[in-house]
This record gives sequence, C-alpha cells and structure tokens, in this order.
Amino acid sequence: MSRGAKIITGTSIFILILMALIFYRVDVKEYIIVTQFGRPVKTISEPGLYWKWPDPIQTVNRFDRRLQVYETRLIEYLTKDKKNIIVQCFVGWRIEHPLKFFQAVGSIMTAEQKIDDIVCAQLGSVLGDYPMSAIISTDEKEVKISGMEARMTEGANSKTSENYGIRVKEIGICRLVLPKDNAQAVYRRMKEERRSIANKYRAEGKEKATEIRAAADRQKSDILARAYRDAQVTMGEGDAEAIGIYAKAFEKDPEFYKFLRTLESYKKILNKKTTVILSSDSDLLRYLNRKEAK
Amino acid sequence: MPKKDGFFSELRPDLKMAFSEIRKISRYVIYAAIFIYFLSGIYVVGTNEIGILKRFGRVISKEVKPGIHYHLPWPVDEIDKVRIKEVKRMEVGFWVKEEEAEKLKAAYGKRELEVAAVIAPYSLTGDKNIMHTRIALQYRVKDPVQFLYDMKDPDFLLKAVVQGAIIDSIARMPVDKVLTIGKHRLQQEVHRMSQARLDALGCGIQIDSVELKSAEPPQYVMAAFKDVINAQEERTTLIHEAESYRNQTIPEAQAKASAMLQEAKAYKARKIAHAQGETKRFSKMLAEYSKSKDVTRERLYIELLEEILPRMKKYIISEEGGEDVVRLRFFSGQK
Repeated sequence: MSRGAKIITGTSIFILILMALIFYRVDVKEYIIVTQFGRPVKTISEPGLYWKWPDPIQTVNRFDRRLQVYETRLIEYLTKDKKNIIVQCFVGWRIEHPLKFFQAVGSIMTAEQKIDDIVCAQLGSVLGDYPMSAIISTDEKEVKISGMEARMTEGANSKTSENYGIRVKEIGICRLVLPKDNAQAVYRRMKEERRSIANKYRAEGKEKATEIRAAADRQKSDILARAYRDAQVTMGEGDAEAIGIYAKAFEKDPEFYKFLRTLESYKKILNKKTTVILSSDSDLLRYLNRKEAK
Repeated sequence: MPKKDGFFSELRPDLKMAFSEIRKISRYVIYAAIFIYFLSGIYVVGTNEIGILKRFGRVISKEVKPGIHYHLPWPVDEIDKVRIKEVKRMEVGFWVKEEEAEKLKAAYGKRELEVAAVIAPYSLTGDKNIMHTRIALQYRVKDPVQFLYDMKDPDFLLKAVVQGAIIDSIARMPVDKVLTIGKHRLQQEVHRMSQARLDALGCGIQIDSVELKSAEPPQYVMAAFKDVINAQEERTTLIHEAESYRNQTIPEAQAKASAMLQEAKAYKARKIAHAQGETKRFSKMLAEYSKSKDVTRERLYIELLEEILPRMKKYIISEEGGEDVVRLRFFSGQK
C-alpha cells in the first residue's frame, strides 16, 4: 500500500473514531442529559444529531421519555364505612422534567419505587373517603370509580411533579378483590342466596299449580251442580206434567181407576211365592160345588 | 542486527511476506466493506406494515408504504416497522386458567376449593357476588408513531385498561343481569370505556371488538346457580301440568253435565209419553166400562185371577166345618 493510501486510511479511521466519540444521536423516544464531570449542563428533548466533548469530559445520559406502565401490588385498604377491600392499580407515568428527574431520581427503577409509595398512599387516602357503595353498587349512579381514579391521579401527580419531575398520567384500578375471610363469606352467602331463590321458584310453582287445579275443580263441581239442578228441574217438569195428564184422565172416574190400579198391583205383588187360601164359599169356586153345578 | 539473529531473523522474512499479502488483499476488503455498508441501506416494508423513517433519531417520514426502499445507512437513517393491518388478539379478564385450576385443586383438595377460589382472579358484581369473566379482544395499531414512540409497553397498558373497564362495568350490575341480559351491555361498556381511556393516553391502539367469551359464577357455587335454572324449569312444568289438568277436567265436566241434561230430558219425555199412553189406555177402557159396568168389572177380575192364581200355592178351606177339607189341585203348570 502506498504511503498516500496509508495516510488516507489512517486519517479516515481516526476521523471515524473521533466522530463516534463526539457526535451522538438523540432518538425520538428519549430525553438526554449531558453531564460534564457528573454535573448536568445540557438537556435535550429534540431528536437529532448533536456533539459533545468525548468521555470522560462529557457524558450522555439517556432517559426513556415514553409513557411507562407498571402495576402496584395487591394491597388491602379500608373504605369510609370501615369495609376492607384489596386493590391493585396500574400507573401510567412519564418523565416530564428531565433535569429534575435526573437530579432527584436518576433511573426508571428508582422512579417506580418512589412513585409506588406515593400512589399507594394516595389510594389509601382516597379510598378512605368513599363508602363501599362507591365502588360496587347495583345503583349505577352510586359507583364513582372513575372519579376516585381521577382524584388519585391528581393527588399523586401533584407530589411527583414537584419533587421528581414525573407526571403521573393515569391511575386505574385493574384488580378489585375482597380479603380472604370476606370472600369466603361471600361464597357462602351466594350459595344461600341461590338456594333461597331456587326454593322460591319451586314454592311459587307449587302454589300456582295448586291454585289452578283448585280453580279447575271448583269450576267442575259448579258445572256438575248446575247441571244436576237443571236435570232435576227438567225431570220434575216431566213428573209434574205426567201427574197432570194422569189426574186429568183419572178424575173422569176415580173409582174405576182405583179398581184397575189395584188389579195391576195384584199382578205384581202376588207371585209364585205367595200362598192363597180360598174359602169354599167363595164366589170363584162357586161352580165347583156340585150343588151349584147342576 | 546480531541480537535479532536466531528465531526472529528466520521469522522476519515470513512475516514480511504475510504482511505484504494482507496489504494486497486489504484494499479489496476495504472496498467490499464500504460497498456492503452502503448496501445496508436497502430495506423492505411488508404488505401489512407501515415504516417510519428516522434520521439521526428524528422522524422524517411517518408513512413509508410497503415495498423496497433505500435509506442512508446506520447511523444516519433508521427504519422502524409496524404491522398496521394485523389484527391482534388478546384475552383479558378474571378467571382461572385450566392448568391453574388443576394445580389449585391438587394443592388444596376439593374441600378447600373455596379457599382456592379466593386466590383465583375474579371480579365483583354490584350486589357483591363473585364472577369470573373472560373477554376476547381484537385490536389494531391505528397510529404507529404513538404506538412506537409514545408508549413503552402498549400491549400491557391495553390489558390493564381493559381489566379496569371490566371491573368498572361489572361493579354496576347485579349478578343476574350479568349472567343474562347484561352481557351485550357489558361488552359495549368495556369497549367504550377502554377506547376512551386509550385515546386519552395517546396509545395509538384501536380496539376492533370486545367479545365476552364467558361470564360465570365460580365453580364452588356453580351447582347452586344451575339449580336456580332447574327450579325455574320445574316451576314452569308444574304450572303447565296444572293447566293441562284444567284443560282436561273442565271439558270432561261439561260433557258430563250435557249428558245429565240429556238424560233428564229423555226422562221427561219418557214420563210424559208413558202418562199419555197409560191415560189413553185408561180412556179406552173407561169407554168400554161405561157401556156395561158390572160385566166389565167381573170380567177384569176373573182375567186377573186367571193370570195370577196359576203361579201361586192354593188351599181351599170348607166353611161348613173342620172336616172334609177339600183339597183341589188345579193344574198350574208349576212343578
């Protein structure tokens, strides 16, 4: 390789190394704090290409400017009406003031610890201001979860903003459970409740069914009673009319009727079981007597 | 130099040759490296993707369309790609996954299932009942810049926000509503609340659909819930049976009533006809009788005796004294 080429290569390499030490990019996702011997001298929030003195004179500190999200632990709190509830929240936050953040906090992990303390304290104080019915209630208007979340956010934000340059953008409840004993009691109660509802349905069914059957039976006996009555009346009419016909006919000669009727009854009454004793004087046997036969 | 004689003096010409070879190749290697370096600027954006081009970290193009493009190589330009048309899926909610349920059962045994159920995730209804809910989400990236550069972990945020929406919506409904008519409303509310919150945070995610895959009471009380449904069905059955009894009994009674009336009418007609017949007969006989009373009476009397005496046992007693009882036997045809 010629001398000239050597020089060019060497110089290029030297320039590249220098550029790597001096120039740096700021990405759209980050904030940059340039420190000089540990002391912050410049804050950069616009993405682009910048230059600095090489390390260790000036150092680039990068911070994620995006919205961070983390979840608190499950913590038990007390509501205004002394009810226990276990809550877990998600917290959306971001760095708002890079310099303050760098000076007060330094890293995302430390930030989350500090935020967590503030958020949990806010949770406690806000939850303590509302009764249980503001959290769960069948009356829609009573539930004020979003209002509570807004208050918590504001409250947390006022502290983090001032002290750490952190903006808490959103706090939301992402888990809501009861303490173990309460939950067990709820299970038992749910079972009992369902049992009594089932019993109610069954009792209702029985009652209604009995009612329907009784009504049907009543109607049945009404119908039959009325029919019986009407039948009796009709038969009575028949009897009466017959009696009328008889009377009209027989009163023409009651004596003769009595005679005929009695003869009829003899036919019926006197059967083969009957024994009759005739007197030899009787008219009927008159002609059996030899004397008369002559 | 005399000091460098021996090992080194033999090595030196070989090293010199090696270096000269390397120097010859190195020129080409360098040319190739530079070429490859500039070649690295070629990139492809896929058909369901959108590219975002940055120069020195600053966004210079928000919407690089699918296809082959060229940018200046690193560290000048950089391309980020987002699958913008891809529909992503996520399951969110509070329920026990099957594998976990098995583990819990094994760890706690059936008797302690209620304890286990306390550990499993659930949500609370407005009337303090415990429910397991399982929601299937379908979502897309609607703003790639927001999605990539404003959010650290958008999928995680989405899950948390939707969970919050589930808690909020269920906390307003009684359990019976959640299990029956409220399902549709729940889906709507969760969708609406989540989307609003995501938009307020500038998340860049669009929720396409929220589907309630299941909303159930926990295993421990499931049987009791099913029994309520059974009880409802039993009630309906009992009532239906009673109604069909009624629908059978009343027509039966009416038929019977009708029959009774018919019989009575028949009786009446019969009685009247009978009377008419008898009286007609009587009138005829009366007419006869009126013509010759005594003779007719006698005749009728004897006719009667003719009819009834044969079948009776007869004794004839003499009026004139105790002796000479005459016993006559009329042939009666009787054995």
